[in-house]
Amino acid sequence: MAVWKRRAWQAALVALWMMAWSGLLLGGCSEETRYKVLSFLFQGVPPPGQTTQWEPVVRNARRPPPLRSTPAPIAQQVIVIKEQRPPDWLDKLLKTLPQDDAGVPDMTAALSRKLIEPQAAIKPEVKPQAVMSMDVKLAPMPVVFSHKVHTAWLACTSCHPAIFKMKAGADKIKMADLYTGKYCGKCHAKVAFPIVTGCGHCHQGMPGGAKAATAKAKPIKPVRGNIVMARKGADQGIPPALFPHLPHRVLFRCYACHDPIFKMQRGADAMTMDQIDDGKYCGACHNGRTAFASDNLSNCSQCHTQ
Amino acid sequence: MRHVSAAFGLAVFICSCTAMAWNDAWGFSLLGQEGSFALGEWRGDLGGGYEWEDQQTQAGEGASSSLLRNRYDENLELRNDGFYLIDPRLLEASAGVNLDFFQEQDKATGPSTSGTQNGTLIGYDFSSILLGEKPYSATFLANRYQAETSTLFGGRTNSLNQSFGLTGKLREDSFLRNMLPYFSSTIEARQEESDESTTQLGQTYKLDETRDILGYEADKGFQTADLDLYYQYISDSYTGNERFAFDTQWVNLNYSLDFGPDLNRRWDSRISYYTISGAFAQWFLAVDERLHIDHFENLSTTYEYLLSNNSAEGQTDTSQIGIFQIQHRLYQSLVTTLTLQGFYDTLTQGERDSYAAELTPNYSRAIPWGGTLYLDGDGRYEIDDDHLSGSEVRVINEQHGATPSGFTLNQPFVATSTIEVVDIRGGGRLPCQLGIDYDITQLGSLTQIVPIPTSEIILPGDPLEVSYSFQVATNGQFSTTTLVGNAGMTFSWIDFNLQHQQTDENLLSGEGGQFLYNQHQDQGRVEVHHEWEPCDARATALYQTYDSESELFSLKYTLQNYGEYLTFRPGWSLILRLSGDEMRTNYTSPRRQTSSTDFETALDRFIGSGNYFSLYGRIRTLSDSEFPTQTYVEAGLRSHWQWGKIHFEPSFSWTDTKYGPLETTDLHLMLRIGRYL
Repeated sequence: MAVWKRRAWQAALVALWMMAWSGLLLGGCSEETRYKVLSFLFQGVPPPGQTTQWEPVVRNARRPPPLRSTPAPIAQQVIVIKEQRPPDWLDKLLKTLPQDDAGVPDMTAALSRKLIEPQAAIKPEVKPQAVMSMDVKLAPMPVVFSHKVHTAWLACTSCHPAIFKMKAGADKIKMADLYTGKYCGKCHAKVAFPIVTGCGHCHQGMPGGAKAATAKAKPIKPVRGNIVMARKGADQGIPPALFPHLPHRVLFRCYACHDPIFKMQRGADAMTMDQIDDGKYCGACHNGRTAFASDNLSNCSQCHTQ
Repeated sequence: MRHVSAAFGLAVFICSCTAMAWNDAWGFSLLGQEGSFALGEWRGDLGGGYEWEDQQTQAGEGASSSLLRNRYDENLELRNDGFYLIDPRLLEASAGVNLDFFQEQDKATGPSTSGTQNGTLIGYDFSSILLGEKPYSATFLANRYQAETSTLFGGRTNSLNQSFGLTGKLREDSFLRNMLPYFSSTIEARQEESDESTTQLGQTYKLDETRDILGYEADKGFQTADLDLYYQYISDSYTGNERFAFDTQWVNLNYSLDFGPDLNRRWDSRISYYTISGAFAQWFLAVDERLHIDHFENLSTTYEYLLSNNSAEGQTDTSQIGIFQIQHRLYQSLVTTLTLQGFYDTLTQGERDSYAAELTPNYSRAIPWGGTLYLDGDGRYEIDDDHLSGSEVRVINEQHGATPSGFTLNQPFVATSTIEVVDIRGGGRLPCQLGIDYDITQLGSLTQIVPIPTSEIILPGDPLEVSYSFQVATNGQFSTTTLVGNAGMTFSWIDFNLQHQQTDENLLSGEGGQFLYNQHQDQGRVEVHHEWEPCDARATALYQTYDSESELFSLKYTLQNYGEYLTFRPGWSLILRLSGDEMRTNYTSPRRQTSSTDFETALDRFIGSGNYFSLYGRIRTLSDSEFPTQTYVEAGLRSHWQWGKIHFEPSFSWTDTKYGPLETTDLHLMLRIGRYL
């Protein structure tokens, strides 16, 4: 027992002695040599002439200050030409759409049966782009990717080459990648049907695929695709805005907004309320003529929900 | 009576709902109705089954018993999910009933009884939510489950579990949001009843437990702080075993605040109070005050004070701990933590105090081939001072899990006659008996508790609480020096790790040198892992040597542990899983050997929608030179086939369980056929 105890202490002392001598030797070296030695031992060593700047830690408040109740503004007439819909129009519409086994509304089937007629652009007279009929078979598991289904909603540049290379089989796609939001996972489970329940949509013969039947009286589980905007206004007591993908998806094809108005990447557009009120981003529609106006104070809570 | 009233209430509710949906037709429709009431999705299953079981038990010395069981059952399950009154936003609910009629014939020899019995197993569940989309909602739940299951060694358990409860929730966006912003709360009242009867090896064990639970939780948020309150009251009663009854109250109050000009300082305050009455009377108070300051991105300090007061079995233990910690990061590779700690403990028998300083450097660096090199160390020096009038200190309710191979108590030099073990499965408190439910063995200065497989109280994995006394020096000052070194490399497919740990205790003054010990542990570990289509494989190997010595005990052993795991999935419809774990411990002082093996395999084949069959097998052995060897072998087949609404579920299993001279072989065949409604 005493032997190993003595050896451990000796080892610790020798290590300390070596570290002290190394420090002294390094102190006597040139700056260049010291950098070479230190950067071999440590990561993040600044080059000669520079110093590491450790910033003070600054934390954000956990919540915005509570909103004080203010006298209700005098009701203003909101001109909404296109939005003559009752508040529950979306829920009622979803009940009429076909669902897959998991209760997710099948938007592709709904589109092909004209149960929904999403516009191709803000202007309703713009005609949809032509679809491309090309199936891509992926190995080893039986997967058929339908270009026809996807080009009904998306432009070629929505996916190529940022997400998929323009060559069949060039991307080594694994299911694990999809679950972490890569490849098909960029949209599926966020705005399109979930990967975990919709196996049969892509893998022939597996359960969970699209159903030919019309909607059934069972709980509907739509993929709402809500996006909470992270913005500095939250520090000033204004709750962050929530963008609901689902009602927009029913009314517009993806390429109506992406990329002409918004980039296909969350957080890529640093939009401000001033820009929106000037008719950019959401303001392209939310101008009081096509949809409710963004610059009308009585409409704040439509997006800035608490 | 309560069961009948609950069932009656449910029946009245379903009938009322049905009557409201009566429409113009002479019978109700299974489709949803628009209007004052609408049914949700109907689901049902009508089926029947046949079960054949052959159990043979050998108890050694020629004693044996057998049981041949033929059982038929007819099952009806009906449920409606998502029905509502007026509007789903007002009241939405789900309800289901399950009726199982069975006829059973048993032919037995030995302690089991032959005979014929017919019976009914009744189950239901109901859940409803009132104003589900509103910031103030209420949920009501009621359910009942009844089952008969076979246990190890030819036993049989009849169980009836039922519960009902009400939960009210208030969200942050409620009518209080202007007066009390960021406030939410939940109140819950629930009653759970468990009636269980287990017959095994001729012995019958009964448990009739009723538990009333009341809980309240409130969260208040501020701009830079959070305040949380949690309160729970439980009244637990046991019909026929009133001495086990107890009441508990538990209060938790947490406050957390960010402050300073940059909100870089955080104060956390936690107060917990717990009291229990009855045979296990105890009360416990804990206070934790912590201040953490992030001075810079690479430098932080922490100041902490902990107070705990524990009173049980006529003894009171008050401990206070003060901690100061400073953490520094050099470049991106070296994080060093210095900790200073003081501890002061007031016991009924006297006082104990200790002071410690600890330095922990952690170094990591990226290396070629995508790897990471890490070198961690820990050095700690501690001085303990005991001033006690008695030589034993009591530990109350130390928590452990009932692993089949046993667990070691935290304190050394335990007086084994003072050990009390309580099973707290499901929130109950069932006392366990030495020799019937558990055994005790010594590992040097440490004490090990080993659950006995034939115990009717301790089931594998159960949470246990152990109270005991351990011996300490009455008046003595001693030092403890701990050194830990940990070095390793990780790559995408292989990890290496070497670890050394040593603890030396030395008597500085006074008496009690016999309770001091030195220990020394070295360990090497290698893990290989890789994922490639269609395989996922992992293997680990660990070798450990341990050596500890005191004046009273000596413990030396070597341990080897190997683990393997492989998944092979050539297509979505076929999965093969293989896993294994082998451990061998060779004690050289005192002489003892233990080993355990666990191999498991499963082959799952999916054929179309919902159809599958699964072959599985498992071998588990646990041998110990001080206890009888345990062996568990299992193999079987599970399958599910569906044609339209008809489903067919055959299954077969064979198990062989051995514990010393006791051996039970069980053959079990089950066929079920049904139609979804």
